[in-house]
Amino acid sequence: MKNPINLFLLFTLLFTSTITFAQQADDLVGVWEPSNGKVRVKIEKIGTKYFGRIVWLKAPIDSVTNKPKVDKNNPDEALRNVPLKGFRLLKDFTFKSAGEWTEGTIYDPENGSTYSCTIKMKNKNTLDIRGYIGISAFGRTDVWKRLEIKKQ
Amino acid sequence: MKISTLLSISFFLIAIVLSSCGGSGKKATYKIEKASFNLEAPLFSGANSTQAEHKLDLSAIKKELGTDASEVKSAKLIKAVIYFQDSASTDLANSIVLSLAGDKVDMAQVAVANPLEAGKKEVILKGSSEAEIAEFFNQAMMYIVLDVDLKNDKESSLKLSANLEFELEF
Amino acid sequence: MLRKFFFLFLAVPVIGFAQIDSTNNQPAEEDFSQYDSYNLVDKAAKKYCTSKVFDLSPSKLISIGYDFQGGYDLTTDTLFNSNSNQYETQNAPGFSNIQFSHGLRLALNIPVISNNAIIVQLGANYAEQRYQINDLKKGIAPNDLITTLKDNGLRTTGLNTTIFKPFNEKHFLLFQASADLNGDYGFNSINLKYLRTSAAAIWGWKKGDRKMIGVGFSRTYRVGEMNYIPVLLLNYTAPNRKNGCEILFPARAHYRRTFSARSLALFGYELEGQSYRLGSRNTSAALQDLELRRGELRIRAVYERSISSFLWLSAQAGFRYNYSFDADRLPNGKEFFRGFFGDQAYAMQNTLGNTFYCMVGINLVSP
Repeated sequence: MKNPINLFLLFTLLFTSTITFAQQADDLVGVWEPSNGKVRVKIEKIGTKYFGRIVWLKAPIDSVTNKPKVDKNNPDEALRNVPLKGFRLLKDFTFKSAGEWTEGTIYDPENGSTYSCTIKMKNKNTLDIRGYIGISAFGRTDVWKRLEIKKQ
Repeated sequence: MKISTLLSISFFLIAIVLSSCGGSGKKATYKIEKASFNLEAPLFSGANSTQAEHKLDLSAIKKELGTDASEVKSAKLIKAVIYFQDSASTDLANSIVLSLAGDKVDMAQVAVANPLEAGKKEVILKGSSEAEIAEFFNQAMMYIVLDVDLKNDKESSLKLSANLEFELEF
Repeated sequence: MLRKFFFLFLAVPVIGFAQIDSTNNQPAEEDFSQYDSYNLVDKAAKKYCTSKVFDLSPSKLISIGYDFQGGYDLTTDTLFNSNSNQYETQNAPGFSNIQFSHGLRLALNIPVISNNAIIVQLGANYAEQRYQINDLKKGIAPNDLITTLKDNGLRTTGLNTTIFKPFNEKHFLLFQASADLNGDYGFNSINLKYLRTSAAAIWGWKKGDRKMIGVGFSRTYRVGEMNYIPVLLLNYTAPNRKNGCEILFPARAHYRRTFSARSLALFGYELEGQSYRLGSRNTSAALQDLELRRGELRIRAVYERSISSFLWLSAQAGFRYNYSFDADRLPNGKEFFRGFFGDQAYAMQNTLGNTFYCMVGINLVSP
């Protein structure tokens, strides 16, 4: 190890892998659409964790109130006026290993339930998002696809 | 198009011990005053996020309460007021949502105002009584996140500040 | 020189890393209108309909319940022996007052495969009916049926599966099958002769987020004896999201009132029944190969509410109307089909009084 070239190689390897790690972690960042196509979710990073906000709704207006949809099923009554557009659906995901983010939650505005959630990246444009209750066996996996502005 | 937000200019933290020695534990009020947020122009209609990093300092409270006060066991947001700076007012936005986030704590939505009363410089948010936020106060740092739903695109930056008041129980 | 070279190289990845990691904790501001023009990078995920409509009562993953029926009378017939074409007069008719009947109900449903293209759920269930019977009237010989109900009660232990296979956004296939051990057995006398199977297949149409309909066919024991009947499915939620219905005719039909995402009420009925093999723990030869056809109609109100996120409380009460408590002597121990129009004679025609009932349960649900 006294050989400076060996040392150089070691450090290069170390930092390259750190970069790769960070890049892999940030692969999640972007705009995604669940299989039902009803919303578009932008995943971004706050601190060291990943969060996903609704940035687009197929039906933004509530058919009953004729106003923009709000989080009316939230179990916390004080928060039922939070607009769904801009709502953080995915919260607190941490990068576990290549293509896998864990320890997060996913919220279903349809019933006001928050599920434990893991995200697996099948390829750079496809996510398997599994929401579950307690243990992974009590869960359901949905396929999300990456969106981008169409190149001219 | 992306815009980066600059924030967190100054915090004036005043921690005042209001009461202590309750039956279930010692209580104190923790205030965050003039937390600053800057949504940098150009801004677009829709929910715009901004956040402020807040370093927690409970040393004064703990000193006042004595050695028993080592860990915050429960916390509740009791007051949240957002101020529009400069010439800006509530006319600009549809709603404001306040959340707390931390590297080791799950994000929690803690207050909302929707819709905003027109023509005001300040907004009192409706706080959640159920949000479990005690763990934020056992960390060294937390993020205060504001989601401001703007009515229209805006070519100049928008400055906001927040006064928050929490009741902590040790 | 080498050292300079080394640090130069070292610096590049460090800067790179800093750029990547310096998230700055500032989410970019959004031009929300831009997302209208976003397009999928590669081909879209195939869209499938889901197995639920808005506000459908939540499906139960784990369920623990207790069922209670108030007092009623049970009059048992003299056993008819179709082989000898005679009544078995040594087993006299019985009359008893059942103070109450009750029992534990457990169910577990695990979605072993659950994604947007298919849901395969495996389940296990246990239900018991215990009878608290007053002493028989003096001078009347003990009736074997009443004796075994009193001593052993009735049990159901089973496995089941539910498969929901959507083919696109509109069409789906729903398949359910169950294999139950039904009888007056104890856990040390379980035998495959108690095995009864039922199944249903439904072809369905999803008509948006608030309506799904289906038609199908089932082999069922819900009216006590084995039968083949067509089934109709209708799950509907009104545009106001307050009212709806959940119908799997003829098994059950309910009007649903939604109070919030965490509480609802159902009003309607359910047919409940099983066919139980008797004689496992009774030395009486009269009960051998006797199959008790228990079928009842429960007209009920059900209230369900969340007590803590996915933990829901369920309480129901109503009127239990007896449809069948008759018994068949199985020829050579083999099940047979009578249907609505068969003329095979019952070995025993019993009369069961009607009564109120209630059930409480705690459930882990998937909303």
